[in-house]
Amino acid sequence: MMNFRIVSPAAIIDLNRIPDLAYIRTESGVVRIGAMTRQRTVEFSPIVAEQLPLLAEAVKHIAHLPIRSRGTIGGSIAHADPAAELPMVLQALEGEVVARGPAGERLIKAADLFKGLLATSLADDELIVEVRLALMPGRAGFAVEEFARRRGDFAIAAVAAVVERAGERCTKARLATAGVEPASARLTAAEEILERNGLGDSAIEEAAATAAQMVSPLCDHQASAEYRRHLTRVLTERALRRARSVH
Amino acid sequence: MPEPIPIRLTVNGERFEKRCEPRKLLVDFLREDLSLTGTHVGCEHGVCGACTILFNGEAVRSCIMLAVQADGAELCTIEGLARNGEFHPLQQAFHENHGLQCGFCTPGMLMVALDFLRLNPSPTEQEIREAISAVLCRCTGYRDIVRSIAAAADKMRMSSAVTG
Amino acid sequence: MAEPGTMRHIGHSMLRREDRRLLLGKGQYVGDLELPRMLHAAFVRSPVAHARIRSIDLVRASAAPGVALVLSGISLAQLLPNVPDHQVSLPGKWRTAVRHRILNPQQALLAADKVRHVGEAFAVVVAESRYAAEDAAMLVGAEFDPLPAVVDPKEGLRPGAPIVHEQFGTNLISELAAAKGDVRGALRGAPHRLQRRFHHHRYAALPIECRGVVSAYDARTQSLTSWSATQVVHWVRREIAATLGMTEARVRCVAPDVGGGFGVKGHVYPEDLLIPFLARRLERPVKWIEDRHEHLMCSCHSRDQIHDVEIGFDDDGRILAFHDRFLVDCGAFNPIGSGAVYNTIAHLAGPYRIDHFAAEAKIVVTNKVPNAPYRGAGRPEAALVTERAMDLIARHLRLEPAEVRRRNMIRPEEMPYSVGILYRDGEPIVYDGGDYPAALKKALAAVGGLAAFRCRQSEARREGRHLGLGIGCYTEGTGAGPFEGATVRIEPSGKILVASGACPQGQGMETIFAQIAADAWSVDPEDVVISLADTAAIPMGFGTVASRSTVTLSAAIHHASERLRKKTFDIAANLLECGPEDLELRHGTVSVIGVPGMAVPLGKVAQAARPGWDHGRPPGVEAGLEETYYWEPPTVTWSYAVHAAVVEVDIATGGVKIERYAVAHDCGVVVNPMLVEGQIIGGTVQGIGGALLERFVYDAEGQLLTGSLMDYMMPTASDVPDITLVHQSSPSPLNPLGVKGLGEGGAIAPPVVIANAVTDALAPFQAEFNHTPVMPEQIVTAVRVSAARAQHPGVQR
Repeated sequence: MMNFRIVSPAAIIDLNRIPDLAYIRTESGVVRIGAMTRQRTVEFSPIVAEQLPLLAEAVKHIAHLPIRSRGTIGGSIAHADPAAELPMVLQALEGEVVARGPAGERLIKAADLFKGLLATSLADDELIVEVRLALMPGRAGFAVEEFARRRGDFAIAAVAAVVERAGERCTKARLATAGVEPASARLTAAEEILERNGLGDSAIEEAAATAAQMVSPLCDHQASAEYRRHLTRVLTERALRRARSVH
Repeated sequence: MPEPIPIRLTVNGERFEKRCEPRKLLVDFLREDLSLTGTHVGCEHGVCGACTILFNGEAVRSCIMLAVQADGAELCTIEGLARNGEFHPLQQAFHENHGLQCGFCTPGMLMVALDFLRLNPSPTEQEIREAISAVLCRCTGYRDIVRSIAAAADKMRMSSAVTG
Repeated sequence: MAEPGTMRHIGHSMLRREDRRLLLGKGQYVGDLELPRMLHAAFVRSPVAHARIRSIDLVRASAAPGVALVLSGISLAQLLPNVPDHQVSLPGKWRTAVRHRILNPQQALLAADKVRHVGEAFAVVVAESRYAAEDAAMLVGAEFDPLPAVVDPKEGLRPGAPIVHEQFGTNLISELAAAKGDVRGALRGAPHRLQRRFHHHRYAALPIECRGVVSAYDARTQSLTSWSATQVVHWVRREIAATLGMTEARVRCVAPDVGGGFGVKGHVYPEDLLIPFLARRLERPVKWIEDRHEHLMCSCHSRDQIHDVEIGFDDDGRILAFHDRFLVDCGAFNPIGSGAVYNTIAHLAGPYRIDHFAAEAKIVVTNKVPNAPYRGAGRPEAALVTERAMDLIARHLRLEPAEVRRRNMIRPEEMPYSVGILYRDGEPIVYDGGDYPAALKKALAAVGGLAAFRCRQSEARREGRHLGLGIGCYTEGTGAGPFEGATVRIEPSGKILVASGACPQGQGMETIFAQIAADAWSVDPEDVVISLADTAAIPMGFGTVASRSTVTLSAAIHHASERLRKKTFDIAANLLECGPEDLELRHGTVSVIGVPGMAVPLGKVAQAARPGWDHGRPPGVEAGLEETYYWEPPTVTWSYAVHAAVVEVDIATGGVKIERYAVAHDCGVVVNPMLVEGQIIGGTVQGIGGALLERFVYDAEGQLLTGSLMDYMMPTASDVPDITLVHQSSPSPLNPLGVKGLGEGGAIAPPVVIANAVTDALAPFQAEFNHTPVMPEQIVTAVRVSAARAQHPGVQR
């Protein structure tokens, strides 16, 4: 944006030199990732691969390796691009961020963080310092389904799914989008259908149809709202089919 | 106009101490202040990859970094690949396999390939294609670049097997 | 034709000489040039599509730090009178024979009265650095009176439409037509007729290096040198001289290493003239390097043609009549005039026999970036029309598309084949050789064979997967005139210098012309010095566009060498005391045939050729050992190819994956196979980009919505498959080496191949893809429309 002279800030603060903002550690069932942790580091982290496989899958969709060398998890979440994968993962895993400012620190849940196009509930003087994601249970099924024009592009639409089951029942379903709406959102009505009716084909189809109905899709020269709505249904269905077959 | 900021960095093994405007792009700094014009500007908005260099060993797009961010860093550019005028195996492979035509994206391709091959010394063709999808080429259609990198990977694996 | 047995380097994949400096990062592109006291220019470009310029305020910009000069179009008009430019000239033969009307809305160097497209420059800032120049550019004030914008050429022709160039009173700036036989009569009598509209959309070359100009004025010699990332140094030089009122001998234009051209750098832009003017005015070198955002809004776009076609055919699928009326959206100006558009007309017949034909083109100005040739230059548009038509005929008659093509194809025994209309050089189009049916067969075999594919396709359909096969055939006129020159000189060192006005942008010319000269002189390629893209190296040149340099330069080298050889032998005979008829060239020497050891090195002959006392020339032979020959081709020579692709369409998302892609092509004698393959693959991938990804989008106000590489999508390595190439060769009878051009070919067929393949994949849905690019959303819509139709069969489409 600066190169296009869309923004010309009077001053920039470089966070890159703060060493203790980049880390990945597990504490009491939660993976804590420092906000300045590079996406590349997340990509190759054994902790992430083992404990947060949804994140491991999603991060591979982010642009290309040279971008991931510099892009950070905190940066992507704070920037809140509608088509970014990391806000979607935060939503799907019901994560939270630690925001710090002159007034102190506070926790912001994913559901309360993303407000709209490139907008979060962070105050002007707040900084994300940490991202917290609960360990995914070993038996959780998961999938990220993304449709983009080229590999590595911002998603035209993407759906992340996490499901847990007990026998025929779906005990927990979480669905989140990227690219469809101005901000990444949970498809709660669709989740409820699965938690009520299980993960059979007709439940999945019903959930996918509901997902498509409940979104208010973006429209731009890349894709119409109708098409994004259509993709929401298709990708929700595909994500759920894949997620349920993980175990 | 803000004060120029001093930066100290190492590029291709050589140490530099310079001052520059805080808003100066890293790629412009390399090209203008260090006269290393081998790294190219293709879009200036971080998409085409022609400006890719190694920053502390990792491929990055230097047109969307500020020069001041390189203070204390070790950079590698295309000018640093050859040793005493002798081609690096990647350069040799590009030459033998027609991996370049106009040469403008080539610095980006070489630096991405270097980073990628360190992470994945025995890649499949698909993996090479995915890795170089980080750099746009308009001349070659990519086939000969993929072949070049595959050939270089073979060579580099063999020579590291020999030297242990 | 060159004698058999003398070719040692032609035909070999010699590695490139250009590689070393480029791989070491020591290439020298225009952006790399640093001159003492150099200043930097930045342009102020229109944010609106169509407006009168009410006033420009330069005061704040002029006072900004580091600024040397700020000029607007209005202030420039007082300093520099407008000079009519020279669009590519049309030969008299063409002008008298072809129906045409051409108006030239010449572009001012800086807009003064009106701006006519988003991105048109109306002011320029020159400052100590590009950063400072851009800072100052933001301080230039401009007041515009907006006018309604013309963004649709059809709308632009309606009465009452806003007029882009008031002096013409119309937006219709050119009309061209060509015909053969009686197309209306043949249509009336045809057993079957189809009518369709095809749209080949707007996209562009987008080389990875944008444009750039560095100019320096030397007060001592009152001469100017301009380095430009251009494909046409002599044309640029000529226009600089005319614009600045200088004699050509005092203007030098050089293209250093150029990072791709593909046609977009193939003509003279306003910046090519303005930067030299600024350098002379300021008496300091001035550098301007275009950035990508600028490039997308001011370097020429291309294609953008809408065709309305009527075709008559018989029960066997043979075309009886072909009538095409088309509109070209040429943007706000028309720098190349009719060139690409007439190419479309000339290439519509393709490799087929068409007895009754007519094509009429209208070129319409709009408030968009000007339209100029890009790799293919009008031929991809023709291929979209003709090759979609073939598939439509096939579908109508329930025949295989390949079979319809076979039935219409001109057979090798019919060569040379007279098409019946003129080429843009004014000569009758005559296909000079080739085997189109064989290329079709090879292309199909290379994607696995037709019958095998149809089996796979049926099986896949049963599984709910959608595979499609697409074919695209084309012929391509290459090696166009009017001329290209070569100077061949033998140096006292024995090295052969070859100089020409050809302008490489990555094709490997330093290598292939060394191969050609090495064979002509029986030396090693290392002993050939090549000098290109420099007006100081040769007085006249045309440049590298239109797949012409291998053909024209090889012929010029051949003829120059033939003449020089005569003189060389005369002098060598004098030195060896024998007759010139006893001599031959052998390994860098002139030797007596059959007498090893009786030889004189070429360098010695060059020394003997010098003027002065004790020279070695026989009486009557003038000093010097150099010849310059300007070769004027008799007409174009015809390459051709067949492309075939297998795609899989995901009908749920609309995603298209190219599973296999093959090209069977013929470019005559091949100088360097490795480089030829690189050109074809590169062109094909650009074509695939045009088929599926790349497009310019304007809104109703003429705002360019695709102003960055995030919006204008170019193919990456993951987007394209490996491409199989199959070669065949019909040497050209029109030049000494038998070569044909091939630089553009790869880009001609892919858009129609993909459109055909996707249409084939979606045959059960009866969808047609007659427009490019083929977008996922269109596929999804087509499937949905088809499903709705199936549910309500009585409802009209």
